[in-house]
Amino acid sequence: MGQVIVELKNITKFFGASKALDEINLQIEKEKFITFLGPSGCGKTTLLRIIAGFYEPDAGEITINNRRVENVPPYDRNTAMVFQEYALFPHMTVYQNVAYGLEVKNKNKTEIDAKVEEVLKLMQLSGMEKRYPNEMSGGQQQRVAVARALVMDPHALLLDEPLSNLDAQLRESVRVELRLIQKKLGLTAIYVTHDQQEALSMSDMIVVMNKGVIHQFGTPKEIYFCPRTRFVADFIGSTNLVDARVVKEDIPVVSYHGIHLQVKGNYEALVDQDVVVSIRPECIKINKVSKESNFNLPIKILHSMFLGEKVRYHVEDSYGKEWRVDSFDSGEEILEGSAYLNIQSEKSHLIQEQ
Amino acid sequence: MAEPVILEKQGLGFEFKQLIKEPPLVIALVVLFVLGFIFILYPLFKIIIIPQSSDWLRFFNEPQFLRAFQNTMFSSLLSTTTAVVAGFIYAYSMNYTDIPGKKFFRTVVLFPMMSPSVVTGLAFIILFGRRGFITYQVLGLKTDLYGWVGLWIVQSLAFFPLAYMTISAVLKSISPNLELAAQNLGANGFRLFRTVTFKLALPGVLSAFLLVAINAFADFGNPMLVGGNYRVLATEAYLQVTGAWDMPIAAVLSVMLVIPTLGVFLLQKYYLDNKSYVTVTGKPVSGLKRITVSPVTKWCLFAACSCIALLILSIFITILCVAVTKVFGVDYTFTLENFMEVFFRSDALINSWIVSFITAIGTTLLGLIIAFVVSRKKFPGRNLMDFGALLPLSLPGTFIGLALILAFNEGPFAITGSLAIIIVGLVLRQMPVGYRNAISGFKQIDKSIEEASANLGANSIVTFRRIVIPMLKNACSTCFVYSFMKSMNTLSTVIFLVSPQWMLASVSILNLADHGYYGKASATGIGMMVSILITFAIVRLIFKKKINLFEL
Ligand SMILES: Nc1ncnc2c1ncn2[C@@H]1O[C@H](COP(=O)(O)OP(=O)(O)O)[C@@H](O)[C@H]1O
Ligand SMILES: [Mg+2]
Repeated sequence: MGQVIVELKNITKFFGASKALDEINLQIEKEKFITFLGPSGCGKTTLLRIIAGFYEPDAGEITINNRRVENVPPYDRNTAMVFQEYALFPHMTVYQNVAYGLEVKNKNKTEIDAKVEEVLKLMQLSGMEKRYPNEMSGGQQQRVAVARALVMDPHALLLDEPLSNLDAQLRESVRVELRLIQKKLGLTAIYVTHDQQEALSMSDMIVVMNKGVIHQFGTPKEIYFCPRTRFVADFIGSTNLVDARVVKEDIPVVSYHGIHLQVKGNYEALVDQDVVVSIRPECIKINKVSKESNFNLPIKILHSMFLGEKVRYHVEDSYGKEWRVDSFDSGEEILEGSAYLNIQSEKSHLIQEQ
Repeated sequence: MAEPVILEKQGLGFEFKQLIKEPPLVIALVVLFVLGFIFILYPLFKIIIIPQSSDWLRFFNEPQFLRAFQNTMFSSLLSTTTAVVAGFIYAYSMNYTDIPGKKFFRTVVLFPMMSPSVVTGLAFIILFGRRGFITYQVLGLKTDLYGWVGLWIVQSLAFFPLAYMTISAVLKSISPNLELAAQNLGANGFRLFRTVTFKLALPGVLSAFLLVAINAFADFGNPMLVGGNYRVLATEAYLQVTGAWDMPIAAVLSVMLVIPTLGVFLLQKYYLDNKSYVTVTGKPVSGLKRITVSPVTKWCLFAACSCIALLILSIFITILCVAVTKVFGVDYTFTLENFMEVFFRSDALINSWIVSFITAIGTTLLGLIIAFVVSRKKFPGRNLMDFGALLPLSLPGTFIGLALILAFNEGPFAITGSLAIIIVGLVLRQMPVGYRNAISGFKQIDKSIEEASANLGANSIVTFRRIVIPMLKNACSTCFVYSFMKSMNTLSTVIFLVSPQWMLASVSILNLADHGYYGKASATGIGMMVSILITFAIVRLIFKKKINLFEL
């Protein structure tokens, strides 16, 4: 494990009577790209602002770069932030905006010039030094906002949904660019988004949150394929949640109406325990004929949608449960009527009920 | 084992702890509170404790004092009603009709705004006084219109612009969509006016009424000039001080004057503000014509506006004529003597300019600083500071002046008779406007811009200097110009504070008029308007921005 740069211990935050954050514990490693992911209102911004120092937690400890900072004001934390609405200073030029933080620190003029120039070049803003924010496009403003934060050489770069004001195409390219810059400079970035695609595509680690609680902290792959809770499974991608009962413990096997399925579990499940299994639609094969396999379930196809690279089926088994199944052999004929589902055992996961 | 219960951090202790993190801010707050204590609380305390209980009793036992109270109430309610009705007609005509000459009508209203209100009184004496041009010269009458009739006319005219401005702002902020909807449903003409426009405007009009009433209660110059023996509280208090040096009774009279104004102020701040129907959308709906009157109504309104405008114009034409003739009514020889005297041989105008300039800077900065901490920082006593910053709005100028001389006559801060006390009085009087102006400026700036500054390493003081002030430049220039103009023109606030060394132009008009030097008095009035205009032009050059007095 690398060096921890930001550490949160038992962070709790109230707004009036409502709890915005509940006992958040998190260790963020240096030079990693971390994303806080969760639906709107789950407390991502609040957590980011607590790191930046705009809110003080009601309980808990924050350590940034080995220094306890609960009592350190925002201007002394060196956690430069890119705001959702950019918050550029409208009365200052691009150059002045970017130089502001260095000037406040009383750096000398030549050093400021050199640093600003370097960052502007990195953000492809050279030649725009004299423009005012209102003379620039949204994408350019966003670059200025990033440049202004980068130039501070922060312990952690904080970004609060920085792409939400850009149009879809631009968003794609900025994502890649941001990630490349972060890697190149070896920055620690904490990124807030409610967009799972964005989180999955950019992050080293993702923190999935809901209602002020961390549900899972893991790599994008872990989050996607081994969701720990029903919420994570549901929120990221689409999935089939299946109620089942454990029949074997060491390599967990569950039974769904007598049909056995071997699964992966990230916690100890006991025999006869009721559990929920998450199975991604693309991990299920749909066949016209019954096949010998781990899990073989007769179903009726209700509806199918041709989506280009795949076909999405909505099917129903004889117990009344609806399943979603993705078939990527979209060249093949689209099935109708009755069929069978086959599930690869290593792609099914036990999740914790919450 | 029980879990320790975690609660939200809040309350005084927490706010205090947050503050300590930022020592420069603590110092700024301490300075503000100390200033508030010395210049607001202490004088208020003084003016209340100086009168003995016997002095309070005198107010109820001696008929002249009770009469002064009744007179104040009667005359100011009368003139307020008149001014508000006229203001409503004028504002309605400007916003709801297409009468010709709107630009002219709008410009005319600016004249009284830019001149001291005693100019109206002065013109009135010149025309209708004992030796008045109309009453004596033209009609040969031996009577005069001093007393409540004169006061009524003069105050109505003097406060008309304020009423018009306030009501016009209210009418502008009514969404035309509502009226359009009503028209669409078949409401028309008077019915539309009665059922929609007037109903929507009513709370705003009521606010305007109270605002004008506060000003009328506190008016000093006009009752002094044209009231004659009809005394109101402000003039009675002044005469008690200058005539009998009877400070305690003057204090009692001033406190009595504050009671209605403070009542109105509290009513407005805590009741009316929350009840307004007017939806301020921030974006005026453009491209919508709201012409809802018939041709007959239109021309009636035109006639009414013309009368009002002509009355106002006649004041200024009279003043101008008097200023450039030797002895108006007797010797009509053209002369610039009066102007030479006012501009070059008297300090009053220069003094006024200096005092107002310093006041305007002080007011703008102080308003900005207080608005910054109140709207952006959490600290114990925040509501108190908000209240304190707005309170002087309800304190009549004569009350402030008297309280200050009572407080600073002796002791550690003996500044009576100095330039400082005049500036303190004026800053106190003007600060609420600067404060409110700055508060609305802050509402328009997204808080995240200041957070960005803190995030980049700037503490509150640096953020204030480098981000807040430049961003509020326009609000500041408006505030500067407005308080400059008000300070030039005010009479009531400075009447107790001036001294022979620091004589001001507005007071000098009153003195000159009192001694019958109408030519010089008129020239002073015009000189004040000219210096205000010149200052506007300079500010406009500096800020490269048109100054819009309608914004306030
Ligand atoms: N300044 C505030 N005052 C009161 N409640 C707040 C404040 N900021 C956020 N909240 C509440 O806290 C919860 C979390 O908000 P936030 O952190 O902004 O969510 P997110 O960024 O994940 O959308 C929400 O329920 C929100 O209403
Ligand atoms: Mg958010």
